[in-house]
Amino acid sequence: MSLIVIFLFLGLAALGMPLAFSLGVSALGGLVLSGFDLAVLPPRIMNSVNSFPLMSIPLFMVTGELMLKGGIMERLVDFANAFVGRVRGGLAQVALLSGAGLASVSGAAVADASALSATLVPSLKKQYGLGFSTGIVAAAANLGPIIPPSGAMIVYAFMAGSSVSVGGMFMAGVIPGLILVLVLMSLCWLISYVRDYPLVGEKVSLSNILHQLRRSFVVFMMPIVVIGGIVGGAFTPTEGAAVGVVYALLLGFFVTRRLRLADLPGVLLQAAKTSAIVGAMIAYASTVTFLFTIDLLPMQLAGFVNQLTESPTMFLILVALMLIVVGMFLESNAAYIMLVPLFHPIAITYGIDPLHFGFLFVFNLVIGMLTPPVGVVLFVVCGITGVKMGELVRESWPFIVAMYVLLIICMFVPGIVTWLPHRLGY
Amino acid sequence: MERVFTLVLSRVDAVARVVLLGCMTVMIVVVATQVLMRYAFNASIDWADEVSRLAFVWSIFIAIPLGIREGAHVGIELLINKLPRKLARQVTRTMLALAFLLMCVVTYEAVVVAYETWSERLGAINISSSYFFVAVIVGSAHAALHLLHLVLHPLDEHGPEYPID
Amino acid sequence: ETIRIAGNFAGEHSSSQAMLVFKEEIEKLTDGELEVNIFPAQQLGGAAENVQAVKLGAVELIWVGTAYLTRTIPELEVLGVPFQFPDRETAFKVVDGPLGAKLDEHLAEESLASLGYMELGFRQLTNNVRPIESIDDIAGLKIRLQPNETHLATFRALGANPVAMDVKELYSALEQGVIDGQENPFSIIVVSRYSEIQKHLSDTRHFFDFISVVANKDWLDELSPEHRDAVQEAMNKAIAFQRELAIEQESEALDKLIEEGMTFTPVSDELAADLRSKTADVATSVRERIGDELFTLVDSEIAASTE
Ligand code: NA
Ligand code: NA
Repeated sequence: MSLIVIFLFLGLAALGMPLAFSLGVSALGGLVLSGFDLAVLPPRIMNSVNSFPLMSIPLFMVTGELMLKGGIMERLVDFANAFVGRVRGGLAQVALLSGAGLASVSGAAVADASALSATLVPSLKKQYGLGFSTGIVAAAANLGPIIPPSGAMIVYAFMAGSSVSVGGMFMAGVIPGLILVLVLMSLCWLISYVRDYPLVGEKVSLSNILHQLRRSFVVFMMPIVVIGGIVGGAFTPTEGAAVGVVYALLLGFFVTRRLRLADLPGVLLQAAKTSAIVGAMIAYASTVTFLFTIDLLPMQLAGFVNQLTESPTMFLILVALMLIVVGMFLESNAAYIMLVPLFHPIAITYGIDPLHFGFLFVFNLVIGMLTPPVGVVLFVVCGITGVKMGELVRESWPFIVAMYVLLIICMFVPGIVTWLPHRLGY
Repeated sequence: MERVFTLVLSRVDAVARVVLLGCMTVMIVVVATQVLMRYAFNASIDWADEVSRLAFVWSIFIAIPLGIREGAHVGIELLINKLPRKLARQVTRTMLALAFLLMCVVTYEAVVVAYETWSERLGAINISSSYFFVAVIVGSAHAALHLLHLVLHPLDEHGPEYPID
Repeated sequence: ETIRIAGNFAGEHSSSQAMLVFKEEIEKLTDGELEVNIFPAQQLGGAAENVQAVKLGAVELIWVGTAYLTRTIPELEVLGVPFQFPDRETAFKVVDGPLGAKLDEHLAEESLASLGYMELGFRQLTNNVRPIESIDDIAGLKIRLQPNETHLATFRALGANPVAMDVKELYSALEQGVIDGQENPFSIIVVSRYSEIQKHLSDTRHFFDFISVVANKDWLDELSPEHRDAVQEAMNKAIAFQRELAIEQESEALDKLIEEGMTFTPVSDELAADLRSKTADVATSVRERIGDELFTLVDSEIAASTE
């Protein structure tokens, strides 16, 4: 029966039915075929999203939206400018550093991609042309789900169950995220050098740095309060996200004074709709998972994989190759929702550190958001800036390759990922 | 007929948006207050967990239909974009009709389940735990309406100004 | 035919082990005509969802903490009064006797058929702040409790600051110090690895928890009489096995928790008396809520066994 459900899902999805509904319809087919009472649908659908930890997703989305509406982009850009204005490809470096700053308050690559595209590309393209500008922005947006907070990591931890905590996943992303920032900036420097982009931007001066530090202080206090509070034990991730909302409201109303009461309904509705897309997929995927479990598929799959290889490294490589292909074609949340419950338990039987496996899984699918043909970050950047998909892909591939190289390094040097969370007791 | 359907749907959407705003607000206020109570008063609200989850579940199922028309629910459009226009249109309508069928089944079954489990109470507030299922009923029925509208009156017959979201 | 059994307990818990006994027995008794697939550890959803699933017939059988059934069958709260049973022998005598039969009728009204009760055990308090030596030591502690009115009222009566929280968040909330303590039977404290993050342990025995084994009644009624008898017979064996194992596991669990570094502070006689007197009102209010009839059955059984 599992096979029928899988083929039904693939068929419907290929014909363009939204993934949540494809999952639901194929589960419905499976239930009818196996003579199940259809009354099992509503409890599965409802209970799979009835979870306090999952609530952090809309809350972090609200925080991110409020921060943007509150005018943090401008402060981040000024801040980055004070440091790297005179480096090769200076303005592009500013975009990367702003992207990193944005990533530390926002949890989603899609939101970051639209914010960076709308605010930075107009000035970037005057220096570097549309192609390179959008490539930089797309790469910077991918920092969003790697540097905490991270919606992707919340979904992963939720699907993996009690062996992976959200806080632990967040901390696993910190060091690789910072390394990735450095890698992207170096690559940007190299490309600018080869192409001989002109030196622009303001001179680096201590007084300006201090001035910008003072202005951006309130922005960077937010990850310190929220992520620090989650890791340090002041609150659970969901509570932390709610604290973030309150913080962003205070910031927008009283510090930057850019937020209007009239902005709030739009922010809340947008966050609700975006989380509902993830929620719908979790809800309907859980009906498929129910059928798989009843059909004992996870056990069979684990047996099959174990037969294939006994080496944990080989297993990691196989999973990585699979995810590269999956990342090309599937929206990443759908991939977590469908694949984590199957592969996470197998990784544990191989003795792989759950946080190590989790981070590699997330990182791989985050890169997938940049790979054609299905790459949501590409879609967003194209949609907002009007760049041609082909041109964007041509300019993004060096960054994509760099990310895969970092992924491989993280695979063979687990310490990069696990040292910090282990140090903090996760 | 089409005008009436459209009008009804846009009214339902408007109500849904108001309910959705309420749910999101309750969620944020309750969770944030829980933190405040803990640190400022060393106290805790018994019903915070259940009420915030109720608001969250409601917000998800209420928001699902609102994303349908704008095509927010991700799908793979690779193949469909390669098909001849007329065929693609028929395929899309068929897919939407199947999704409509799914939503009808879910709505009906959720009514059955809510009815059968109505006697089950929540732990900290004394209401039926089936209010969680009511969210599924309302959201799925609303989604069914949206899908039916799209089957009967496909988007490409109208301009982008079509007055529903 | 396949019997699907769902539960939320970890695979190594005595109740999950007992289901393996059930599987073996029933397949032997029916020459494999009835097969069994067991889904422990929330594979088919959490406890509350399991209850819905068995009611709706999505699974044939579940085993679940009896407290989760009180949401559907409030009469079961007769078993959930603080400091009710002096020991496990009395507790089982009560549920195996006339009271159990009476409760079965209430279950049947919700199309559930009880196949018997296993032991979840006496619930015990752990915390990270101080050893519980007197009643004052409980005051102000932030304790995670199941979202259950009686449980919350009991700890409020003891002066604690109860927090209702999803069990999924419990480990990290304790680890990070969001809350100070939790309460569970020793065997659950061990398998949930709370010893890694909690320092102080007491044998407060504030509730005795049962595990209910419950079948979908329509399914059970439709089985042939031989098969129905086989199900009950195999489950009786499984339950007997579990009760033995639970006794063993409880003392092993306490030893293990001490070995893993928890400070064990036994409850003194004075403290035990204080705990009882402070929570007497909670018991009274439960009694008023569900009526005296069921409680009389409990009282007479307890009186008989303590004579
Ligand atoms: Na982030
Ligand atoms: Na992709």
